[in-house]
Amino acid sequence: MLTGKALVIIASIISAGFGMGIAVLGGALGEGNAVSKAMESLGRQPEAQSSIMTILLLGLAFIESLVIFMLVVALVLLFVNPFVGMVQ
Amino acid sequence: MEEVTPRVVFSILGIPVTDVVTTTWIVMAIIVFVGWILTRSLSTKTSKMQVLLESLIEFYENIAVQVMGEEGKKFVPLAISIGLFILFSNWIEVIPGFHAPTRDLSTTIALAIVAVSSTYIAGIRKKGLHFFKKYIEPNPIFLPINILEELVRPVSLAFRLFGNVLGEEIVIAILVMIVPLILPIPMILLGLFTGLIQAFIFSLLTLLYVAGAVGEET
Repeated sequence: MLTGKALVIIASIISAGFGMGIAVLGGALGEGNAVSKAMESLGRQPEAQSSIMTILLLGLAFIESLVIFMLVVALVLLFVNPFVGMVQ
Repeated sequence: MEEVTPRVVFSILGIPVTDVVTTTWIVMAIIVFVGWILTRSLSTKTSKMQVLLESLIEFYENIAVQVMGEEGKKFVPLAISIGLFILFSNWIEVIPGFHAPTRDLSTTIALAIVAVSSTYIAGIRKKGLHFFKKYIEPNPIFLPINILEELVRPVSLAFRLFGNVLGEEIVIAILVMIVPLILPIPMILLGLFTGLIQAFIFSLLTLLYVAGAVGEET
């Protein structure tokens, strides 16, 4: 018979894993799109390399930060879960 | 997880001092020492290190001038100091026994507060009370959304740096636990690269936020 605490732990682990997977999927798709578009414009205008690189890095960091938010949530769920203490 | 959480080194008057603080002191000492060494003998006959430093400053000045014109040059020192501090903090983890101070949320939130509050100071200095007019533009209905946007900025700055560095440290710790011999080395090299990118991104975003505060109304 599963106790409430065990159920909370199982739910936390599963949601951390699935959340990370979905977040990484979305982030990878977005970053791939951005990089491919940047490469295209780089092929068209090689002289604009420095400004394209700066803007690309900035955009990648923004996309990446969304994935990082999920990573922080997953770390909270796995290591400092606040809900485990709530159920007895 | 125990490998990467801050551990208490000593305590003063009951206040625990973690290794995050001591490593930050070491990073500060390194930056001051290196800066003193490099700027000791500046001359018009440039040495190699001087060329390196000047190209770094010129790189940031170009970006600053691009985003806010000539007046942007006075915010370059702020951006470069934040960037250098984050860079050395991220890179100090290659020394055995040290961990990056930026893996603790306190450090990154402190840096984000410095960066964001400097945008307010710069904006109020430039425009006075007209600075607050941008919150009710184009319409006072947008006031809650604009305030929310301002609150999200430091949080996203802090969590981006924190999550990147902590995630990478956890990966390295796990790899060291499984295969301690050679396998962690490529991961550590990747960590050096991400550390550089994160430092650059943080300082660039600082510059951009300042530019948004002092720039013309759009």
